[in-house]
Amino acid sequence: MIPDFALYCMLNTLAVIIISPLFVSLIKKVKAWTQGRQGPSVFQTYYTLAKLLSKEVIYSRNASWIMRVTPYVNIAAILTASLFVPLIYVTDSVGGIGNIILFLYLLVLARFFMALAGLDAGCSFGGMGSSREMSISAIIEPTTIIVFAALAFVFKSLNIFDMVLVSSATGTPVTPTLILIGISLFIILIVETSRLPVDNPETHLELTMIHEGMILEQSGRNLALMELSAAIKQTLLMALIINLIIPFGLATSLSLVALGIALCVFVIKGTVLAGVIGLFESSMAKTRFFRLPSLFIMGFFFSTLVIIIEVFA
Amino acid sequence: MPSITEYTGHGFSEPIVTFFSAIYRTKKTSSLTYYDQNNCLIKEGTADIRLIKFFEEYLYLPIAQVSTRAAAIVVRMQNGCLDSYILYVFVTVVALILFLGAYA
Repeated sequence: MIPDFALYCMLNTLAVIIISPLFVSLIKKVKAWTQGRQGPSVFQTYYTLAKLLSKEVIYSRNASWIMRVTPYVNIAAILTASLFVPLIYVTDSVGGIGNIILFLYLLVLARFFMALAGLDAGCSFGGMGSSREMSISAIIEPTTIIVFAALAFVFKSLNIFDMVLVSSATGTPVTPTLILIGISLFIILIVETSRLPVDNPETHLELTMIHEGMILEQSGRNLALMELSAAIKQTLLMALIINLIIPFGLATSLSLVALGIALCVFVIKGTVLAGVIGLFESSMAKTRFFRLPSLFIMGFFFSTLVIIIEVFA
Repeated sequence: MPSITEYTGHGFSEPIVTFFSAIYRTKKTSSLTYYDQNNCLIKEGTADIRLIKFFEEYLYLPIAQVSTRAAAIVVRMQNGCLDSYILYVFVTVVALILFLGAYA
């Protein structure tokens, strides 16, 4: 069990680091196609990260140790969280890894440090991004907790590994209520990865930035780490949706064939989901900031409905 | 060199205060004065955000006032006069005798 799990840790981390930039580029490509242009190549994010890793890091004169520590805290928290979500191979969890609440709060830790770093440089754009990001995070948190509670009610466990094992044993959505939870998880994905209608990830206007505003002052290697952690976070949330709702093809045994098939199936499913996200983003404009809570109420409502259904039926 | 463009605490919490404006009863007012008749050249302006301190006024203060009133009653009883203390002891002993007589 322990060697299995150690192998799982290595496989999962490698898979997540390699696959995440691909999904980022795919979403950009889909958005470009809907706008009638070709868009950057599918491997552009890899080239960008490689370029950034070789560039110089510059710190503002007003920056403190927070600015220097944040990219590393960020990538460490997100990579730890990546151990919690099985992408291609699932096994029994060891030592409490896989608790969904801990997963959520690892992501929140990363976001907290990102907000502090946004304030740290003393520039008003970073402060604006941090303030907006923290307000959105405060408003979406009850919804996220309720969605995870609904997942726990459906799968009868708080451990993501148990949930994925149950799900992959049946091969199809375990109950129809999972479709409702899927909608809520999709809304959470949009919010956590700062996509339209919450925030435009491709904006170049600082007054409209939320996530981009917080990483505005980062440069070089630090910026590469922040972009990679945002990409990995997106992949983890996509994997949560994919592996809980459409789980066929997941490997439960450590054979090369099963792992290869699971990897291909995951990339294909991820590509489809990236296409759906891209189409969803292209179909709407950024909503006014103070109207965002109304959007989140929908996710909250679906999950509460699922909990009521599961408890009373 | 100090940074004067840094975000203040009030500015940081402004979105949350606006989201929960029904609880905090946020009132935003602003006014502008102009140099000319056509309202083109701005002379000066003021902006104001007012909110009630919801938790202090409706949660903590009532509890604090109840305990202050209870403390005022106790202060009147503990007035440093020995005769009233002997009276309290006498009343307590009589009550105890009656209670034990009735129920034991």
